[in-house]
Amino acid sequence: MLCERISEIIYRYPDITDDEMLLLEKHIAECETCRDALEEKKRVLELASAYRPEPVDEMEWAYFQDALNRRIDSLTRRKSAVLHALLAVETGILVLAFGVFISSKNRTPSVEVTSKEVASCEEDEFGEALIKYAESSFPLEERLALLDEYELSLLAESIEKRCGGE
Amino acid sequence: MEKGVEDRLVELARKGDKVAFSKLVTTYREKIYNFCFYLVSDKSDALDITQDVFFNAYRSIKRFKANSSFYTWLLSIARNRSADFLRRRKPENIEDIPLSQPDNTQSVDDNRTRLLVRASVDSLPAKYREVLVMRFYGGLKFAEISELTGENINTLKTRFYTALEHLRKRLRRYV
Repeated sequence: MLCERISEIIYRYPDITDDEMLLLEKHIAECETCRDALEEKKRVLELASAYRPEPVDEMEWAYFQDALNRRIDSLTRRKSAVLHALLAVETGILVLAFGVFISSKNRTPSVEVTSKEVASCEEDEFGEALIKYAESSFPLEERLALLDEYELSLLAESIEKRCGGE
Repeated sequence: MEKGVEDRLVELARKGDKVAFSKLVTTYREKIYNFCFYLVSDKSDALDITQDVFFNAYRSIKRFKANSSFYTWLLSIARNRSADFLRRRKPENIEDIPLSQPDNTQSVDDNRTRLLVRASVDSLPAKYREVLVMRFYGGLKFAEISELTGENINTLKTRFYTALEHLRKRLRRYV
């Protein structure tokens, strides 16, 4: 009966508690079968722990680091190129929006504001809201496409006001 | 590396400081390589995966949450990358693996031992091998492995003891 308990402890060895270790030591002093089982387990663990990964020398690590740096640099360059392209597109769209504003400045706005919330805003507040909207995280092109002529002209006017004030 | 120094390096790396990131790489590359090696059993593959691990870590370092350790975070990336690699790799017949030529620092016995243990570890199903590698070779606590894998601690313990028993049965004739 005790051998069964000891066998279960050996099964979990070396993940055993201090009390289990004491019990084990006491038992194997008297039981040859369990002592042999524990010895075998220890030798197997020793053999398994001798298995080490193939070493990597300094030159290989230097090559590793160099290759990694090149990948990271290439990633940084790609990100930078995309940012520049986006900036150019956004600038172009802003210029276009400003052009639309200039061409429609002398016209009587014939557009009704569709949203009730928007209609209740004062023009200045609405202009500021439009700037925030234009600065939000959606692609600028999509954002501007959703604005009607009145909203576009108000956006341009608000940008002009803000830039004039700065 | 001290926790305070590591935290500072991670913070700098998050802001894009490549030198700080490079110091983190130097600190952990060997541990990550060893972990990958035990999982994929090939030096060249383990080095490639290790490089992927650090490249992905650099790319997503802003997503690293400081409440876990940086090393554990790297291990979780290494674990996923190794698993992807093993899924893609054609199953290998262990009998076909050539016995590599021992170099000057290794005896034939070392080489034989490595092959025997490697064959035994490789013959374990992935989820058993993973816990064996993390616990036995990586020295991680069950709680840390549980955090990494999302598995229950008792399940992990059962897998670990089963894996050790498997090794015992495979290697007993050689000890």
